[in-house]
Amino acid sequence: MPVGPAGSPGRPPDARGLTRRQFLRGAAGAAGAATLTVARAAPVAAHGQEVDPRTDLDLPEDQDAILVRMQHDLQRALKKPLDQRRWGMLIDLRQCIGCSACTVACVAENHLPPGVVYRPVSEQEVGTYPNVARQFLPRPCMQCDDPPCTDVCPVAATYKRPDGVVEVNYDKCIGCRYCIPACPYGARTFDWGENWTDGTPRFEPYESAPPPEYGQRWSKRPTGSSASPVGNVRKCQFCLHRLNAGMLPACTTTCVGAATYFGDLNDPETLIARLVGSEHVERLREDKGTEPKVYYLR
Amino acid sequence: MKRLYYAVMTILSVAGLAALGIRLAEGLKATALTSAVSWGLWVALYIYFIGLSAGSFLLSSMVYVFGMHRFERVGRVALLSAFFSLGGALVFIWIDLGHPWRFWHALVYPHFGSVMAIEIWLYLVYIALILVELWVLMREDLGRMAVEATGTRRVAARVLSLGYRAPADAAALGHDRRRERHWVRILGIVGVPIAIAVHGGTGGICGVVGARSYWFGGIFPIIFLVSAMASGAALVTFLHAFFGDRHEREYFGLLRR
Repeated sequence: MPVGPAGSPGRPPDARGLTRRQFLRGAAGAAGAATLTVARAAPVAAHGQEVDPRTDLDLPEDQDAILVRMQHDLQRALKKPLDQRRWGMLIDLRQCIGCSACTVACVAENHLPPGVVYRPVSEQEVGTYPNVARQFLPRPCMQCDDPPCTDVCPVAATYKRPDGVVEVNYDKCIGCRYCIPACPYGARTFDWGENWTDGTPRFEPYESAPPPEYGQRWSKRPTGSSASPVGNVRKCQFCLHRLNAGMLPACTTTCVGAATYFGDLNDPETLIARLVGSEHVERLREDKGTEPKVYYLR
Repeated sequence: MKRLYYAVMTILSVAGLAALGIRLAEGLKATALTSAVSWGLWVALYIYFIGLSAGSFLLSSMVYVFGMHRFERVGRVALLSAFFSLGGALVFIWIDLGHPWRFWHALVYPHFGSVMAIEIWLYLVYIALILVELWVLMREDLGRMAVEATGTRRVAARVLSLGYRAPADAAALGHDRRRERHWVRILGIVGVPIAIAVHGGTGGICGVVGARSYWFGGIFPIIFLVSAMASGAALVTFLHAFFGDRHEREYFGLLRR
């Protein structure tokens, strides 16, 4: 950082003479103003064009109200027996801004090591300049009704639960990785045993906390070469450990654009059940016949 | 020459054992594989060696099932290479597992909807069949070696011969040999569909995956089997060139054709 004349540190040599301190104050102010805005802004797509805000869905204006509504839906679903729930997710692609907060929240929640990603957000530019737009696609596990991954597992370590989530039994999985190419969505990843702080002078304590997945405590890292979940296939499980504690999945709670909806598809009064019936709902790779339970709103 | 061969084999074996130790200690992160393409060299070598095994076995069946006795000398080498190729393939896929010591789950908790589980059980049957066929073919020589050889070969032969000794009487010996040929023929006949199922099934592991458009389809088991015949024949030719009788020119010509 260049040092300016004596007595005024941090003065960069630019025409406006904006000091670092002034810049940071301005930036903080702008950020603060942004956080006060809870209303759902109209998404902007291509240069200068605005996408019509959603008036067809009859959603509350307030993002918090949406979360509270989904929370109530969750409580109602948890009172039902396991096999009468059908967990599903809906992602509103108009609202998704590609921030990847969901990706990060998921990594933090499930203590994911390098190489394991449950919910990546892919980014694609469409059109030719100047008529271009960015499209974002978060992709959790689809929790298919007819999962190709469960068909190929030689030990039935992965299976569809009665409530719809496709689970991996970390104690049974032998790590053959057959299910990874079998998934048409690439939703499954393998835990090779890498750590974020490998090769650094200190193995950080935050890495050693065992993951809370499936409500059980797994091995602390650094583990032996094949102590579960190292040596296992891992995937999004709709944060089952959070659901059982009455909380929405991490990605749903943290979604900055209020684009992620979650709930019990079997209950017609839930927010997600209503949204799934709206126009412009689609699913990925319908031609594979997997019947995914994650829906996308265009 | 023999000393050089053993020296090279020893060096390679020690290096291999060291690498195995690293693999078991460090886990699969030593491979630098990623989830995008999670099957790497070891799976490719496993498939290759299964192919060699099935191909060699089918070649041996030319002798013992289809009675092409010109290839008699190749028959045993082919069966032995089938056995050792299979062993090598299973070692490769074992070290590729994320949990190598959980391999027995496939035997105790099999899910037969998966082609891989069916294949694992087929390997057991196939190994048993090869071992029995090899023993029947070699029992006379093993019995002789148990009596006449010395040192480690004698001990090994005594164990492997399972107590069989070739009878001194020519008629009894002839009878035993006829029985051997009969049994080998039956085992070979049973073994041909099993070898085809073993390696065709390995192709089926890829062929049933709808998500991968370059894999999906019924052609994959065929591809694997045709490749196995080619590589198996190549292996047997190579082995015979090194370990067989060099003066059998006529036989090389037949294999070349």
